[in-house]
Amino acid sequence: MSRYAFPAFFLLWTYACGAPGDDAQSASIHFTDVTQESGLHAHQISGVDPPTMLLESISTGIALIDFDQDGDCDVFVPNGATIAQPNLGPGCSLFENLGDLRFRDVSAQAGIDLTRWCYGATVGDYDNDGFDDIFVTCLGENALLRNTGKGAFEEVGHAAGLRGAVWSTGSSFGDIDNDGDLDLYVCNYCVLDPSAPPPYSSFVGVRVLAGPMGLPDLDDQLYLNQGDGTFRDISEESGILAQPASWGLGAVILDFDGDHLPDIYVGNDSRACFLFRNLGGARFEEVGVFSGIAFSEEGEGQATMGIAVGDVDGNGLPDVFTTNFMFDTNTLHLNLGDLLFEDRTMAYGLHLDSRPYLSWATGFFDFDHDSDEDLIFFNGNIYPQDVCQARDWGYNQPPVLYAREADQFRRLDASSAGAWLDDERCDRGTGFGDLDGDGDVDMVVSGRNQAVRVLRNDRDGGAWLIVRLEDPRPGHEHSGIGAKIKLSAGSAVQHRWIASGVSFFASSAPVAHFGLPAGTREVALEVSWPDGHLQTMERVKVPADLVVQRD
Amino acid sequence: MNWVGCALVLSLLLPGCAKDAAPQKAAAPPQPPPSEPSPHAALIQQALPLFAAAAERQWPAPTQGMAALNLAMSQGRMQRARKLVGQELSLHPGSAEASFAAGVLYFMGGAYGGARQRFERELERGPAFVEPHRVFHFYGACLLRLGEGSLARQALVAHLSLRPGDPHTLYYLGQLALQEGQAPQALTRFQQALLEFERRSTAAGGQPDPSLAKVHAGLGNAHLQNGDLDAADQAMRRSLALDPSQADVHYAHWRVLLRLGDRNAAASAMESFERLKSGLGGGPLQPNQNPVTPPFVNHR
Repeated sequence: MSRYAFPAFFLLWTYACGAPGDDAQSASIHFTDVTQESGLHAHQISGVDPPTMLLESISTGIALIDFDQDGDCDVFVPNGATIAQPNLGPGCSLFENLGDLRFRDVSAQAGIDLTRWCYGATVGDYDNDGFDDIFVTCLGENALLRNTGKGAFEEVGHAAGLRGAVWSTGSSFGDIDNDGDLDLYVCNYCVLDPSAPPPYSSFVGVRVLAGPMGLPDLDDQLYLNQGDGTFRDISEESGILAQPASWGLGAVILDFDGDHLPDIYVGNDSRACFLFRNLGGARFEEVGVFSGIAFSEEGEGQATMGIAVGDVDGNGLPDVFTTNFMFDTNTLHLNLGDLLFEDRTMAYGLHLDSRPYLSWATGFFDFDHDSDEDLIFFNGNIYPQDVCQARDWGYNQPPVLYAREADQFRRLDASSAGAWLDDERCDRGTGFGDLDGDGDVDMVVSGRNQAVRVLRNDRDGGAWLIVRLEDPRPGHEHSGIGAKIKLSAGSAVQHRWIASGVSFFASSAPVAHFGLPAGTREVALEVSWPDGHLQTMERVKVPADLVVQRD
Repeated sequence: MNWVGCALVLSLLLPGCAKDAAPQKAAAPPQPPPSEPSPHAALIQQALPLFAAAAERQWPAPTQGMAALNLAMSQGRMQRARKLVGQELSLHPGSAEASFAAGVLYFMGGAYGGARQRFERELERGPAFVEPHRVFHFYGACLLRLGEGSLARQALVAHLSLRPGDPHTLYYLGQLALQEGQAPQALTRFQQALLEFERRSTAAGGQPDPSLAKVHAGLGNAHLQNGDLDAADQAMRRSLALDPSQADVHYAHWRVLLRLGDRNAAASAMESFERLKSGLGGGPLQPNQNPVTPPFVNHR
């Protein structure tokens, strides 16, 4: 490992891994399941088999968090429970990254004592103390795990003013009023009382678990961070409740139109998705339908489980890919500018492959370091195994991985990408990040009633740059959530966003990861901080794990 | 059944419905691909010559129950059709035609896995009822919905070899190309389907085929994918003139009009879409307050 010198005014420290030029092999994508040897042994529970209620089928996510600030990704594993004991599940857990893809369970010493039925986990430093905290959505009261900075967490949700709904799902941190601290959007799903299960429903003539259609929907919640460790519910006054309630599953707070006012995209199950345009002053108006992002190309509401954000067409604006139900297709909405989106799923070759799958976590990442973002989504059914088997639907389903090639995405198979791609599971959430410090993006995958698994990226070519933002100003969130990073290497330009709420019920490393052609030595960077402050850097050496401190 | 209207399906479902089709010539089966075919591709290849040879075969008249089932399906009375197919299969458990009809009902109900099994069973069994070529068409359509594009194309092309110029199959091949992001190929297929439908319409005394609206819509979507907004606009207008009840086409037309910068027409298209899709959720639509203003939406 060597260290490169950079101008100190913007750069705190860097790690550089591997000498330039040692990455001349051709790019390819290959992963290996290293769960067994990693020590990350966690089994996630979500009801029993066969499930009798939708509560059991949605299951839980995963979160990558550097809770001890040692520069690597630790893993928080939310866990569910059972209908018989919805508040007494096996509990969430925390795994410390020991390096070299080895983990150890530190739940007890970290004070992780959360046994209620948990779903999603979103990471952010809500109290601006420099240590990332975790917001966990639950059945009933949601939880906010405050990082004390001493290797431990304390649950402060109620004290911080966060009130649970009946059933919360996805969530996203973002600074909606540009005051330097993280506000919070919480999706709520539907009213479902474990003690009074609704009657069965029907899907293509088959008797299946009820919901969400036919079940009462719930208003989402928008919380404004008051800067004193508490939040205030501004759902009503912000305008988000001007919309009828829906079945929210996921949300991303991000500046979609480049006006430096973070907007909110909300994935609703089976109905129009919301796009809340930020009017300033923590006020929003819903423009989803008119923006073209509410529906599929056919004008249909979709299930919208997973959300990925990336610049697919290279115009510098965040495009949105969503994952959906089986026999429907996943959907790619290109951002044309000024909050106008165009469904281009078919044109990019992403239409047909998704039809058999019920899809969840997803992400755009340059897995093979060839300067473009590839795409992955994870799958698994929600209906009982016997129902799936009788109908040839597939309860356990394999992930689907695409390599970006020119204007198309090309699906890869296990013969080139590794046996894990044939491994049929009931997957749900995925955290993406460089777990082993080798510069590429690895994955931690959650699932329903199965073990969490660790997938190591075996990249063998290309250069790379990981950009971590650091805002040292007091009273400001430190990691630049919501920022946009532009990298220029010669005439080639790439864009990334540090977005909260993407994937599915999950948090990934809050960094911008860039893959670069083998032999690349220098690049230029432009960081657009969430409040619009622009910071540029020339002649940044690669490969490197770079911390950019706000100037 | 978003992409394919019921009429498009039903029009090919019933025996004898395509009597005005181009003269049948059992074409040579497609050449085998250079690599070893998958089991399902092999099934298509093996079944094709058997079905081709059966083109001129005389078939017995359908049973009374089968005739009633065909009538119910042609009238779009699916609940009754499901009941009748159950009765027919109880009385004649080995009835290939009833099994095929059950597959079509599965397909129309969105149960593609069950439909696929029925169609594959018929391909394995070989030709066993009047106009057996239909199995290839529905097998291909089903595979398209299941996302198996390559196999769907083989089945649909096999059907075309048995029923040259079949516009329904050409339409599905257009949809397949569209969904694969191959707009030029989709345009070709939709235009072929359009010509064939028009030829048939002329032969039938000018009565337009109810499927024409979907073909025009497909053409519009292909033009849109190709970036030809004016042609997309025209094709969608033709489609909606034939059938204004297509919510999905109003939505697609709205997208085209928005990109053309025709704000008033876009608002009108959105109004039609909303009216037809009321109950989708997403809040009240207020076209006059559309924050998406026109200057930047003209991408021509």
